Amino acid sequence: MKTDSIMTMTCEINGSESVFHIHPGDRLLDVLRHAGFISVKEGCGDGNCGACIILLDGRPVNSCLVPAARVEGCAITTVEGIGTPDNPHPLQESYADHGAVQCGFCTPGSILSSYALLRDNPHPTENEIKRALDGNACRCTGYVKKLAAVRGARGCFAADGANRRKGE
Amino acid sequence: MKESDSEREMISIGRSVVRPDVPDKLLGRAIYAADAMRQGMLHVATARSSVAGMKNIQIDISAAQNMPGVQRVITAKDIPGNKYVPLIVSDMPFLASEQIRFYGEPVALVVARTRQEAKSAARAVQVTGEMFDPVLTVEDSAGPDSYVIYEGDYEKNIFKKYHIQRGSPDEFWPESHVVIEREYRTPHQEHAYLETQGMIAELDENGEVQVMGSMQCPFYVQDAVASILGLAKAKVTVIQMVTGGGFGGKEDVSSVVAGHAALAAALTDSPVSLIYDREEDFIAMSKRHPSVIKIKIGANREGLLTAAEIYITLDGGAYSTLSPVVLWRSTVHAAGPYRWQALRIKSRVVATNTAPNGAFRGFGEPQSVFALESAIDELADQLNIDPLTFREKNVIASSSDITATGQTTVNPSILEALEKVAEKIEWKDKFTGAYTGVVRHDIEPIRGLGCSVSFYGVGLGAEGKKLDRAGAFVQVESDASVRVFIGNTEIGQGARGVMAQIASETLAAPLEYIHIHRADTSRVPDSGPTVASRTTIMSGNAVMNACQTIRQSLETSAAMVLNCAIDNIKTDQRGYYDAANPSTAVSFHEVVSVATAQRQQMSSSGWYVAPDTSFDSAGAGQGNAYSTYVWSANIVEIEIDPGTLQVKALKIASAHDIGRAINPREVCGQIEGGVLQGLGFALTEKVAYSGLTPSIQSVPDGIMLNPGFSGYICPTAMDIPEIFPIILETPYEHGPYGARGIGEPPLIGVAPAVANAVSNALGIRIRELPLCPEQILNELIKQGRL
Ligand code: FES
Ligand code: FES
Repeated sequence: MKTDSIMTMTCEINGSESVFHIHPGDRLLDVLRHAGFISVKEGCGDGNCGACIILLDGRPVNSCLVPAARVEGCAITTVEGIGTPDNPHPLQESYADHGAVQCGFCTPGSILSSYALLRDNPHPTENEIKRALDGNACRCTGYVKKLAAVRGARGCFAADGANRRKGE
Repeated sequence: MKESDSEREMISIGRSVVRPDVPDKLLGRAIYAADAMRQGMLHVATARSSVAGMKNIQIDISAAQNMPGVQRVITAKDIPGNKYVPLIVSDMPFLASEQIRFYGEPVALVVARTRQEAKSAARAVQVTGEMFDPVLTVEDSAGPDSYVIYEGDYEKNIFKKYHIQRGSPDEFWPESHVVIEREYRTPHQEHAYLETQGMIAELDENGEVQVMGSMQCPFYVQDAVASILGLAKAKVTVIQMVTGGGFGGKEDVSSVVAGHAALAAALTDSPVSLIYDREEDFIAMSKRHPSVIKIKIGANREGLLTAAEIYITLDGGAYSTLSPVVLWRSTVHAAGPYRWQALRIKSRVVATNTAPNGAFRGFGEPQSVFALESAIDELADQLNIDPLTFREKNVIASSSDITATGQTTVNPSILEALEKVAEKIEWKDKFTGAYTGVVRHDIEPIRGLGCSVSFYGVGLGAEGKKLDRAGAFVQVESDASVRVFIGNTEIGQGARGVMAQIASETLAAPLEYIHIHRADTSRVPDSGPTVASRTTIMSGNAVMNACQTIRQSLETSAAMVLNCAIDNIKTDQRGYYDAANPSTAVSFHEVVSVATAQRQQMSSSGWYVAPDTSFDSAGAGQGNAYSTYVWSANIVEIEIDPGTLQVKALKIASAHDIGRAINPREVCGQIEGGVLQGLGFALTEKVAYSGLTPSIQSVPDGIMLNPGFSGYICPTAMDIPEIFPIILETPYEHGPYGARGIGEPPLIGVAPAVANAVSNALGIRIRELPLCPEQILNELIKQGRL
């Protein structure tokens, strides 16, 4: 590695500002994982599985396809930022209660896609839920219980004033 | 007097509780192999062959050695121990040194400071030699001029053969009213577990090796690591980390990954991490065996089956790995759960120059069930009998009916399973004849219904019985928390949760007191592999066995506290009580405190050996092949788009008699996941190789053309039908609380049910998977219906 190509990148991760020293070609996926955000998984590395999904300024994106240099000044959310053992997000509880987790490798990406959906569209139709999870490959569950989990969490943002989207 | 399980209310069994592994996975805290870090850890990458066939190879590592960050490049000659992976027949080298037998075969390992440096250097390893024409199909494999990939007990390029003969089918052909002869084919199927293969290996100051990672079978891995390093197994500890799916794909081939990681750690004296990327996982790891199956079956005027002749050929790939046992399961189940008056089954698995095929959910059975259940429908069609009625007339339905191997079974429940799925999908009202007109884009979508039945021998059966035992270790701590060690793994299927429920029930301990440790070969003796839907029965019984010993201590102490006879002690949610005075109970916690103070035995190992099985492989292939069977039925409703000819599954009802559902919601999860993998097998999944698929001319033959999720199409959330899982519970006398197992059965019958539904929709029969629009188009063109 050429040390002269190191650059600085600043962004906000789960609400706290972070500074990284990166190479221009580094993938956001690797930068986040090296920084300890191991919930961000690599399932394919080419944008086809969704295991690496994060929220970039609130929108779900495949972090394996994003150069880290591109997220300067952006806000990033990973699963570490939406729930803790003592205070899991209602969506995470719904996944647990519906049996939507098997091997768990697809789970963080899937939670974030569901999160973005329900935040923007508190009462999605079945088809809207399927569409929102279409980019999150899961080889274990057959998707049935994942869809049920999202259905079961409908309205969870509306119920929680703090999470409510502005203007709703 | 002990009450029976059915009389009393259960504490944990039969409850749809949240599995213990779930919270960490949801919070993003579960540590998988790629997440592990070690001080001074180096990274390993595998250098692979870029062609499918080459002899007298020379491996040039000099360029790779000089790449940035590279610490060491390892080839076969550096292996201190056994150079071959220990499996049934050890023909597969850890690292190729003489010949290349498949595209992606490992030739060297590169150890570097970063993963990227290791990967770049691995690409710089040069392999030269004499290329040969790779054998790519089972037909080529037997050809007189084909390359000799394997020589063993049989003819050239045959890994294994089986033969089952009961009566003489030839006597039945003349008197049969209808006889059909057909050939069916299935392709490779990729496991596509979401977490790729990965291992961490390190040595300690005592020369002991520890390997951790993604795997199904820690004891296979222990064997492989001890073998490649030439170490005693007692010096090798293997620990399973959280594993992102397996489906059979982390059964045998994880031994290669672990062997490589351990070798790199030993030769560099550093902790190492070896994580596959998706492309190499596709290229080099095992897949479902492609098959060619020829079937001749007949029935008499009354619509009763007469005889069957079945010839199975499986494509084993370049090395034998698990092919012999995959072939055995395929063979034993090939005649299905039907009453045949005579039958002959001959099977073989052959070598080709493709990645070695191995275990995949169903283990050879989905191929033979696709062929047979398609043929059964074709025969029903010829007899002009409703295919469901035809099955009802012919399936094994009583304890005196026998399987292909001459085995009688206890409470076969296919008829009940069929009735349940038929009711769910409303078969009787909806099943009508096929649309036989011209298919134009502007007509309504065409619907069809298809059914299938199957049975599945749980566990390793007679050909794997040496390994069919399991251990466990249970220890109740003084605070009443309970630690449980098992020898089978949690690969996403819910094993840890099931074991916690079994331990809780047997000890009458609250479920939240139970802690199931990760599988660790130093804590539990060899418990065999986590495969064949065997974990619930095997580890479950071993856990029960250990808990029962501890329960004796607890009952003794409880009897003292309650001042009653030990035989009078019963348990429920509250804890332990005197049957003569049920209103007072002592909690589990209290009983543990007393028992601990009384120096009672509060820990125990457990052991379970599967009931005996038999198979006369040198003779007619008769015997009690498996100790119990799951009985299954499926009905699927599909719709074909007249414009694109795409098949869309609308509804699938999938019924399985699993004895007892320990956690019903998780059982449904297994059924749903299995059904969708089965649907992928039916409709979209296929591995393409150059030389077999039209491809760019400059590519040599035998290169995998779609090693990734963009070219290999698995079903997504948009593709799912309505799935109706149906659980039947006829208790299995040797199962823990009557349970059998459910991992594999849900996948097995889906593809033939879909093929039968396509036939019911359009009156065309597709005998090769996947059932893609091209195939339907070709059939319609042949019939002049476009
Ligand atoms: S790893 Fe990014 S989409 Fe698969
Ligand atoms: S739970 Fe295993 S991939 Fe989704």
